[in-house]
This record gives sequence, structure tokens and C-alpha cells, in this order.
Amino acid sequence: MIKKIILILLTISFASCTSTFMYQELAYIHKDMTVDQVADVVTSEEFDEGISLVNEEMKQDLHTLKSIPGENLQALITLKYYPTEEGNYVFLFKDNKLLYWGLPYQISNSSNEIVRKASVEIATLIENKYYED
Amino acid sequence: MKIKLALIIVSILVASCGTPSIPVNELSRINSNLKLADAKTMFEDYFDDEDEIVEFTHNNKNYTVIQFTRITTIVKQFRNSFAGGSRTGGFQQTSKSRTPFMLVFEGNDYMFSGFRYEAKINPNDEILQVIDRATVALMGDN
Repeated sequence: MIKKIILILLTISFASCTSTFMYQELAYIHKDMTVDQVADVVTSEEFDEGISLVNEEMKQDLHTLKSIPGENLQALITLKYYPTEEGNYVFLFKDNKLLYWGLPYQISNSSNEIVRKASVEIATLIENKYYED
Repeated sequence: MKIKLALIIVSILVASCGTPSIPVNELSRINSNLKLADAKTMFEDYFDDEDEIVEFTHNNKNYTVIQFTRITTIVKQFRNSFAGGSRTGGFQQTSKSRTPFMLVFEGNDYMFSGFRYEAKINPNDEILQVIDRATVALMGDN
């Protein structure tokens, strides 16, 4: 009986460690960070298990958005890993400062009109980059 | 033994029926310009026309809510078997948590997508009201 209890406690503690690790990584990201600062964090060892794809020069992952005239917007499109799948994760910058970050559908829900509008071009970029044959 | 095997196979077949959960990469196609008709076509494999879509009027506005299922957690546990106080072997048990994911349209226009907790933290109160009403309606259908 004691063995069972110890085993259950060990399983629970192990499960709680692994499930929170993915979310702890995002604590390093904060609003107004520059593109370089975000890239530094994402490519650091702490992010090895969570977000990747940002290469050294970021040319492949960083996109200038053209659909909203007068706004200097850039989107850093990366991949985020889940236990059984991988999905896109986006950092949106305005004037080289981090404005919003999250999954593409979350960008569509923003109360900030500029962010919400940017979701249309971001969805197209992702479709072209990852899912078009 | 054969009956047991047949029961297991039937159970697996029953469990695998129904609409599949939507993968995270499909959600990348959602954007604020998405129209209801396009969404129905785009995601037709991931919801049931009869059980997972609901239309209603709220505050004099027409809403359509499509419900998907997302697998949000997978827990693998190794369970030991004990017989007469001694360990005899074990097996790995996998459990998956399935959570409703909603896609909301006001008229033909995109309004919101996400889990209920995301509606709760959204500054637009009407989204949560719509999600709650859709949840009650969808539960009533099942």
C-alpha cells in the first residue's frame, strides 16, 4: 500500500514538472522586447523543448506585413511543440517592439484592431510557408 | 477468450468513431476575416453538422457557434499489478483530456475562437455570454 502511495506521488510530481515546463518558457517574453531580444530568448537553451525555428539571421522566420498601410509591422513565425503535435506560434512587432504573441487564432481574438487585422496576413503567410504543396 | 477479444475490438472501434479532434496546425488557418461559409467547408472533417453546430439570436444579433474537440493533455502512467502482495507485472495506461474549442460567428463574420477560459478573459463580455449559451444548447442536443 505504501509503495502504491509513493508511486502515485512520484507520478503526480513528475507529471506536474513536465506540464508546467512548456509554460514557464513564456515567462521570459514581455511586451516591448525588440526582435533581437525575442530571438535571443527563443534560441536560448531554456526554449529547447518549446519553441524553435528561429535561425541565426531570422530571415526565414521574420516577415514584414504589408496589408496594413502606415503600420510598421513584422511577424516572427515559429513552431511550438506539444506532446503529440507541433503548431505555429507568432510574435508580432510594431516599430521593432513586441506588441502581441500567441497562437495564430489568439491573434484573431485581440481587442487591438491592428493585431486583429494582422491575423489575416499572418494566416496567409503560415499557409504559404508550412502547408502549401 | 474469443468473446473477450471481440469485445475489445468492438470497444476500440466504437471509441474511434465520431469526429476527430482538430489538430493545432489547422487552427492556424483561423483569422479575423474568416467567413462562416468558408469555415464550414474548411473544417468540415472536424465537426458534426447535427451535433456540433448551433445557431441562435442573442441581444438581437444572430450567432453561429461551431464546436470542435481539442486534445489538451496526454498523461502516460505505468501501472504495476500486484497479486498476493508481490509485483507480477505492469502496463502503460494513456489518458487523454478532450476540451471543447469554439468558433463563433456573428452573422457571417468571425467573432471569436478558443476555449471557454479564453472567452472568459476576453474584454468583450458578449463573447462569454454567447459561448455559455452555445454550450447549454450543444449539451441539450447530446
